Amino acid sequence: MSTIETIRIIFEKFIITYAICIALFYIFLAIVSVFVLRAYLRRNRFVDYEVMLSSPFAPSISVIAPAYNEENTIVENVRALLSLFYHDFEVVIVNDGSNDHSLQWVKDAYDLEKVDFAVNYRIETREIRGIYKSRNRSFSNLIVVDKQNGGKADALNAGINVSGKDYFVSIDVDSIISSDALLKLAKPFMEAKERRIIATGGVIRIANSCVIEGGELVSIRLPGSFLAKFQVLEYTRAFLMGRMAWSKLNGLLLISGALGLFDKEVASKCGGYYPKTVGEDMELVVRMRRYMADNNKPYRVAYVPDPLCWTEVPSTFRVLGRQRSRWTRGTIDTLRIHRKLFFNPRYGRMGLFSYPYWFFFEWLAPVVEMVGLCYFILIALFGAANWIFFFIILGFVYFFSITFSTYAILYEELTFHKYEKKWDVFRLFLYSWIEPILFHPFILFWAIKGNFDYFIAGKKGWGNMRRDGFGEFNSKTLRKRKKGKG
Amino acid sequence: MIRTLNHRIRKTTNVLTFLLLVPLLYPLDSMAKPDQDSLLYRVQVAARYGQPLNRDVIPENLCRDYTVYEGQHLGWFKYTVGYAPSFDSALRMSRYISDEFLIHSPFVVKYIFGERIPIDRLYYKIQIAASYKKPLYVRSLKRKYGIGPYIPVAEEYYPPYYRYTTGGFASYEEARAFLRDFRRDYGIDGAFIVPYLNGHRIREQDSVSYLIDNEAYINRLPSRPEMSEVEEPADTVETHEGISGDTAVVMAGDTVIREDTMDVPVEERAGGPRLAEKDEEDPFREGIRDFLDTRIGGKIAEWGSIIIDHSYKSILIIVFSFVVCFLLINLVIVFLFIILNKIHREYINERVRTLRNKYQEYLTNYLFNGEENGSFRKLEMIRGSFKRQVLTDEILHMYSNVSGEADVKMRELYFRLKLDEDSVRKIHRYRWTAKTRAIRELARMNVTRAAPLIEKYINSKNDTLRIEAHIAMVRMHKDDPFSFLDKINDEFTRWEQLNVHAIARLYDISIPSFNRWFDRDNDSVVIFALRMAVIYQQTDHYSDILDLTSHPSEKVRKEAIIAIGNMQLREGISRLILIYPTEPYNNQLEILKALYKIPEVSEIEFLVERTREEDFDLQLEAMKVLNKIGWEGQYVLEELEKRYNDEAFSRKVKHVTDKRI
Repeated sequence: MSTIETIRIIFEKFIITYAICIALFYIFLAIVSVFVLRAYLRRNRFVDYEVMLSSPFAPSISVIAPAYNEENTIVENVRALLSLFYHDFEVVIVNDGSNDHSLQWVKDAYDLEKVDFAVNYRIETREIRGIYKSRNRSFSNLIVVDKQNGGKADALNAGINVSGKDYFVSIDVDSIISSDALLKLAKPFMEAKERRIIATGGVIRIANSCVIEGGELVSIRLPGSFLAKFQVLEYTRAFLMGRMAWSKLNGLLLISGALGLFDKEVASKCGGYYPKTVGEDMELVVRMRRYMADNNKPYRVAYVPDPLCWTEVPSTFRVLGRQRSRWTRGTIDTLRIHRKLFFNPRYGRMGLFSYPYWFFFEWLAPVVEMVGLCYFILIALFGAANWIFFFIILGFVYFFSITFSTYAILYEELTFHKYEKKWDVFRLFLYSWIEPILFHPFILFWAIKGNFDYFIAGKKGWGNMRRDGFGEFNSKTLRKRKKGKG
Repeated sequence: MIRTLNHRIRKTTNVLTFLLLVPLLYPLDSMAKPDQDSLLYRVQVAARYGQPLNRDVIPENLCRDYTVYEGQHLGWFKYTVGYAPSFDSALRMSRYISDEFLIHSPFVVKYIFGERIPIDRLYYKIQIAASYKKPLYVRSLKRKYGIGPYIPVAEEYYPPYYRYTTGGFASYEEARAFLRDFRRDYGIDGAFIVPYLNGHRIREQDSVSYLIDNEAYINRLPSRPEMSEVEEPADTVETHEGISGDTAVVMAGDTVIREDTMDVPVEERAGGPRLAEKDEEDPFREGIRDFLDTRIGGKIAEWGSIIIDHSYKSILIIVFSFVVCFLLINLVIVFLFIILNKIHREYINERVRTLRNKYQEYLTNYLFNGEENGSFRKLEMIRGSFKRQVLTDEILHMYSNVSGEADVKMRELYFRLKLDEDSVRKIHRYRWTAKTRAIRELARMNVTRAAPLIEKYINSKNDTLRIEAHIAMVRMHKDDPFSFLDKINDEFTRWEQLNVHAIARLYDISIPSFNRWFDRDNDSVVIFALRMAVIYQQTDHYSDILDLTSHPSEKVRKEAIIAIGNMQLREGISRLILIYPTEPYNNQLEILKALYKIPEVSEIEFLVERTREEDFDLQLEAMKVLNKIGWEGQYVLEELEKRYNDEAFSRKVKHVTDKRI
């Protein structure tokens, strides 16, 4: 047997083992999720969140929302944030050097004036140009920070420095936060016993085509856009089947930047958000976990399956592609920064389980898929393909993916059933059949592009992305939405 | 002339060059080929009908020692090795190949001018079994008789029979000797000798006449009685319904008819004692086929066999095929389930809504008209656990929304309808959700006799059940609502504390003196007691709170410091200043925050020292207190600002003096 033959056999064996492993892993996570979701829903039936509303026992929270060129929506969204149901909270809006009228309009709308605030730069950030508070006492819990542009992470760090509460929530200013979000996110912190809860994440849902008035969700609809519908499937799978399970296994590494509640003390002690990466949300969680593990403190990262945050997702290929490429770069960057965790028993499940999972199945999955695809095309061209095997495996992969999506729809139906129309469920089901053919190739391409950008084009940070940074697509679509509404 | 010669030489050179190139254009193997024109014998080692054989199945060492040629003939791909000048040497070679490389029944084929022609040679094989239309499996056949891997068994097909033979003997004597040993060793008494001519089976009498015609072999002619003594003539096999060899084997099970093989020309099938491919050897494949044949049978087994024959490459194909089928079925089921669940949910919601409206009407009627119009009777008639649960929920709902006389009437109704018994029954149920619901109902309706039952759950492992039990305890023990705190073993979490406090605030609960729990071992209970003492401003026992500032637990000390601030216990100021240096950072910060709430001139000296702290927050908090103390403190701040003449310090002074922050 020649060397090439040996390599070929090893490679083929590796691919099939990899595929089986990833499928088994997904099944495992889905099964764990069932139990977690069931337990959560049952428990939640007996929970009265209203008791928290005026309780002195509830922890104090700062809601930090970085804003960059959001002049169209900022006033409305700040009002929505101020009207969140909670007792002891403040809203910190960080204007990250917008070059539109964001700051001016907020100032006018809320009667803001500059105050002599001495900022404790616990975490190093770009210069803070000024801190504004309202003359109107009814907005006393609003703080607006005006700073030099430094990216989302830097803006969040400035917000943490200014915040005067024990916990902070980081949100995207253009997402719609459900009014009970703070109550639901804060509950796990209060339930903690010997294990300190360092962060809680919430489920992100898709707001495209939903009716929004005054920064609040009025009616939930399935997105009209082709791309957004696929993303509904994607998000449902990721949040209801993946992250729920990871939180139960205490291996959750990512709390989406759109909504997460963090222990301020731990976050600032470990240095806050890392401004030089595009995946700052994941990086912070990993660093906080590392900090706790390094100091031998028992901890947990919790997750709330309720749909607490509704966000507009990209509905054009260009913007979606950029977002996915950025996500990929963020993942690679975090994995690179924290490579010490790789199979490191010192970090418990995170080192032995979560990190390798992210490494092999989140980062490498598209790479392996691409390599496999190229290999297959090559052997098919040389006429050496085993077509029967190919079709069987293709069938397996295709039906596995559909089954997985269908189960995600089932989970959603059994839990929160936000899409009330029967036809909506049917449409989602149909979309799950075409997703592997029409949507997945793009996702794969963008992930590969992310790898290419990271390793070959050398785009590590936000780079020139910053200018049209985190809120760009959202503000555009929101503008459209507003037009449509008006 | 010279030109013509030159031209000729050039022409010849071209031709020579061309001729030299020819071997290079051929694969190197062809260089070693013997003269194609002569007669030669080769040994066929494998064949496959319809498509070429995967080369992997040909033993590697065979390929190393011999060049394996692939030839196509009447739809068969045939693989041959070796070159022998005579049939005998080819036969020897075939035996050698059979023994050395463990090839199943290799046999000799003859080529003239590179064309395959039938062998004009008589040889003998031993038939072990035959089957009418249905093929058997060589492996299972061998397993049945315990025939080892070194004895190859070949399958031959002469419609409508499948025959299984072994060996290849140049002489009848050799074959007979082998047959004797074979019968003895494996107990197959029905095995017999079959003569072959030109590569295929002939009738026994034809073999005899052949031998007579070829006098060179006349001496090998066996005598007739000897022959009939040991075997049945091959052509009589058909009259025995195609059964030769062991009858039981051939007829066992519903073996599958492979219709496709019916089309194969007889001689080709017969010529195919072939190398069994790896997949035929796979026990998994045979296991599935056996399963299909014996357990399933009929058309399904037939189709299954066809699919397996066409698709089988490895175990993975079968596994994945099953998985795909499973996924498809699963998909349909899940989708139907989703739709049915949606319908069911809507139905249940609708039903509950209707029932609630109906019961609401009965209850309102009962409240305003008493029993006159039979509303109680109607309520009493409600049967079934689901309906009674809806009724209970509705009564509880109304009970918490009405007051005065109606309130009493609702509670009375709950007991009259014996819903309390339902609740008590539920508490004994296995499911914690039922228990929790029961506890909630019993606590709302204050069914005091159930208190001992509920008390069991105050240390339950289930958070929800535990909290519900705590709330129930507070509501049911009117005289001493917080007595359950003494019995708490585990940590009393902030969430539990919040719920208990919410209940105490919402209902008319008599609040005890919380200093009673200050000396408990459970720190979380002490913390809760401290917080409650602050909320209810129980300043009478301030000395107890001051004592807690020396508690071994850091968390308790922190809570005591916060309590001193929130209760504005001026008696605690000196204490706070005293413990400051020994406290950890977080508690130091809390001390300064507490002092902010009780600003006193006496603190100035301590605070001035704190403004020299390196930590930003400690410094800022101390400055806030100085500013709060009044003009004395503010004067000190101004003086300090002047003394330090530091921009950062001035910024902090501005911060603390800015009233808008």
